[in-house]
Amino acid sequence: MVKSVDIAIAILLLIPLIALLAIPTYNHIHPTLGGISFFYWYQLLWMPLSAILFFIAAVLWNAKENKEEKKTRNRNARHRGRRR
Amino acid sequence: MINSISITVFVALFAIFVYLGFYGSRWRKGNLKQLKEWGMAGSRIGTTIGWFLLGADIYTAYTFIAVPSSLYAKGSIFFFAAPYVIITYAFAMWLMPKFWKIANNNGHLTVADFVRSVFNSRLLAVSVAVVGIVAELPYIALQIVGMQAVLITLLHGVGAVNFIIELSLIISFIILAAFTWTSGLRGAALGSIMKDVLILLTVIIVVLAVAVLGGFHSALLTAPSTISYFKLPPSLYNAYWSLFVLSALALYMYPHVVNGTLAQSDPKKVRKTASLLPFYSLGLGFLAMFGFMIYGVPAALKYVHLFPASVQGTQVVPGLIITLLPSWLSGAALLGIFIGGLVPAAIMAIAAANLFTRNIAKEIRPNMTPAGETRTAQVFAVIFKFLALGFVFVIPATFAIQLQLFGGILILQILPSFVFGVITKRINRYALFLGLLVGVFLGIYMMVAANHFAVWTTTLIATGLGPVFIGMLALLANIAVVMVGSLIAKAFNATNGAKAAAYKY
Repeated sequence: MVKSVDIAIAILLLIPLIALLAIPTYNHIHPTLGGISFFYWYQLLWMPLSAILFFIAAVLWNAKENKEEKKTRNRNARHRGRRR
Repeated sequence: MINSISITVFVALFAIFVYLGFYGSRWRKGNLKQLKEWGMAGSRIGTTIGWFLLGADIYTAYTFIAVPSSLYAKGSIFFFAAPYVIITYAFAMWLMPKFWKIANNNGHLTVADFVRSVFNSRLLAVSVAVVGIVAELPYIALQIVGMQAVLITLLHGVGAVNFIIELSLIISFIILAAFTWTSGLRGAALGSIMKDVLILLTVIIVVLAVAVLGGFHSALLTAPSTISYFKLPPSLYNAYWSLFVLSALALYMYPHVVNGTLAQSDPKKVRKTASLLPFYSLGLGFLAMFGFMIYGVPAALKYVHLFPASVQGTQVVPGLIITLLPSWLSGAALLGIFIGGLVPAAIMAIAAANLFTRNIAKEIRPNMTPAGETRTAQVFAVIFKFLALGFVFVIPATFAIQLQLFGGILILQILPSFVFGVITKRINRYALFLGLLVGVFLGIYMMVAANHFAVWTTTLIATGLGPVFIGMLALLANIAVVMVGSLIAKAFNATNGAKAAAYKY
């Protein structure tokens, strides 16, 4: 089953990919920033932005896995309890 | 500027680095006669060192020398390295924690171990190991080119240019071999911290210096218009995205990267570390831009023109350093670049040697003693470096990035075995083997054809959609064979055997 948190993680990971695959949208010299053409600083900007998006995704993802692991542990504990 | 002060600083810092390497062999002491100790630091590497070890996969001679060099020689197309070092971490966040858990549950230390179990195929495991080793060789060669570039800078003016170029290559190789033999992964990990600190400092200072001098504006005005520096020619759109997407997929296939990931202590930390690494990539982005920035610094441009075109590009970053920084700081910065080739080369050679010992030598001689394993790995680490040296002569130093891209074409061919193995068991082992063969041979053939049977200066091949990265075409052919082969196997009810069916993730 696909949960909303899975969709959120997928979107967070895909945003930078889409932004960088859309080459014609950023393949310009102007506006320059400190003498650097847009083509370069746009892609540089995506480095910190991606780190932020990826980090949020990592936190969501790890929390989701912690929850799942806790569930499995509880279920296993119940099974053991019943066996006793 | 290069003078006795910069050389003294360089040598003094190198002495500290060597001390760290030797100290590393005693750090968090383990029995170095055991392969897992020499080659994986006994899997006791935590988050901080893990960060530097994985950061080291990006901050290599690829970043310091090869990317700026090719950007200088060929223009904006080579800025593909920037999106590459963003996207690769999204892929890693998905694949590597999954793989870490599988490897941990089943005692796998390499991708070949995993492939052997999940598909119940020794043939496939050995093929994956061979491709992994061969793919590391050109990448190691690139590091040697980086070390050579720094020595050329330090020694230029001492003698005739061609003599200096050859001498630098020999010294680099000897230092690399001696360092790997003695220190193993532990020493390399400690060394990589020193390297990253020196380099990030250098990048910040040089970028500030160029900005203060107004170098960016004048670069925009004075760069020759014959090369497309400031935006991408539309004919290269497909080349650009195929290079960055496939490079992103390739990075985490490399044995040394898998090794570095498995050496970390927790899969959730692996994911978190990967998620933050794009921020670290900013350094790569700025270094890449040194390739055109040099047009804003006439003294540096004059310096690189001292050299023949075949090595000119490799002098871009060292040239900017020695013209913009005071001599003591140039010495420190150049050392950062030098060990920036040395440490990754050692890490790669160690990973290749581990793979050879574990997945090839032990298949032939299963009764090897632990001490014998370590010795085999040490000896082969040196042999692989010799083989790597061969690649240095195939590709001109200015185009050293093609070494990494050629390694990428090869290593991408194990992607189906690795990734499909992680997500499904329904793929047929012989189909994977056949796909791998087709991918590797097609990749090499296209490489030779695209370069018209002469020296290798490109990894792009002309297609109806403009030039595209050969690695993508070879991988697509590989995957097509795997898919069709698996469907045929399914039609004939062929399976991967009882062992594969019983394998638990």
